[in-house]
Amino acid sequence: MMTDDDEFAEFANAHAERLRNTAFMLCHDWHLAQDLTQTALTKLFLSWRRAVQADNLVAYAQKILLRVWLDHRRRRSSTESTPGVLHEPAYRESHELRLTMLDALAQLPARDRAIVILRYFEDYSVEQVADVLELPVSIVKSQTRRSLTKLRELLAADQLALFAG
Amino acid sequence: MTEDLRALLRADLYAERPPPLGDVVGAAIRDGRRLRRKRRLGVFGTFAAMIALAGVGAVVLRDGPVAVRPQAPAALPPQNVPAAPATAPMAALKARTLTVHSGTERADGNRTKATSGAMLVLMLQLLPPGRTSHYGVAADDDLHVQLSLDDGRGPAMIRVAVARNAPVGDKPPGAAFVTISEHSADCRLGTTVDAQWPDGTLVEVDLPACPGRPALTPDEAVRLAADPRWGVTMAEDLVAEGTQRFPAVPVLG
Repeated sequence: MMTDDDEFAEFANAHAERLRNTAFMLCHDWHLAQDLTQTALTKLFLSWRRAVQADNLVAYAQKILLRVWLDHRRRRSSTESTPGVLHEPAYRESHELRLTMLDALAQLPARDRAIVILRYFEDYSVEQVADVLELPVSIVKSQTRRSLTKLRELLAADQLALFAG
Repeated sequence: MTEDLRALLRADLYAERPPPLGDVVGAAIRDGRRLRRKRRLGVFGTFAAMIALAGVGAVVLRDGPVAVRPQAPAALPPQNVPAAPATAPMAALKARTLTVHSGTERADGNRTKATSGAMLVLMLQLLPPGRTSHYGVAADDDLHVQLSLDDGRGPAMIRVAVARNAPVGDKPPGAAFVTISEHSADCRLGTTVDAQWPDGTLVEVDLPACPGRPALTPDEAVRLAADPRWGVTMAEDLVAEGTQRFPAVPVLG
């Protein structure tokens, strides 16, 4: 008979890579993604008995991960500037340097970035995103629209063509 | 449009070269267990109270202070002596992880279900000389004990926990994989040394760094954690001695 710890280990081993990918999409830093994933899994371990009662355990884990990341952002916010605009104008002007989707995502505020990643990378429904981030559905919808508009503005022309298609 | 967005996100991710995932799950489990035990024991308050009481010499627990005898490796069967700590240079301890070879995957002899008393007996065999006091054990069946060691520089707490995880298949037999973690941001956590054995046995040594300093040096802590006699089953003689010497130990929490 499997113990709670065994069940947790089985789940965590099966989903750690996915969680780290999500974390990387959020922070664009593999080392930080690793730390965020480990912290999230530790929190999941501590709340495992409650977690297994969730309808969607993966979504529950993602929710913890997002909170860990948002907490991390909040702790850093007093000492670091939040990227609101592109730091180097030449970056946008150069045809040699293509702005990737991850670069563009990094320009979005943390919560909006999370919405886009959950919605379009994790394939969550609007309602699921609202549940994970504990936001009203209307906010998720409106922020998604704004974020997509912002991404269109930021992305290089070649990728913009993809959007238009 | 959303399909294009998905494709772009995935293409960017696949273009990355992620580093190996490593033991993120194992580390999460170790941290989780440590935090769970601390929650369960209310360890911070207990520790502070013990140190405060120790300072005025007002505590006399049922077991009383015990003088730790110096380690006598010659008294142990050769296969039970962890070889690496005696020969490993201190430079090895600067690494976050190391492998300690014991020459055997588990200690020989008949083993029976481990007890807190047996754990305290083994601790006393492995610790450096000093005056010990403030013994404590976890409630229930948790294999988690603590004591305070005073080597002449003041008392400092040592906690040892033993658990059994799923066997680890990719580690060499007869060797413990040891991780040393320094929690510089929180002196209450101090230093932790985890020894993971191929059969899944996990030994955790916690050394709070406040007040004062950790009770053990890193090599002393490695030697304590990596002894092959730890386990959810332990040698019958250790268990018998533990029953005799520690018939009743205060339960923490």
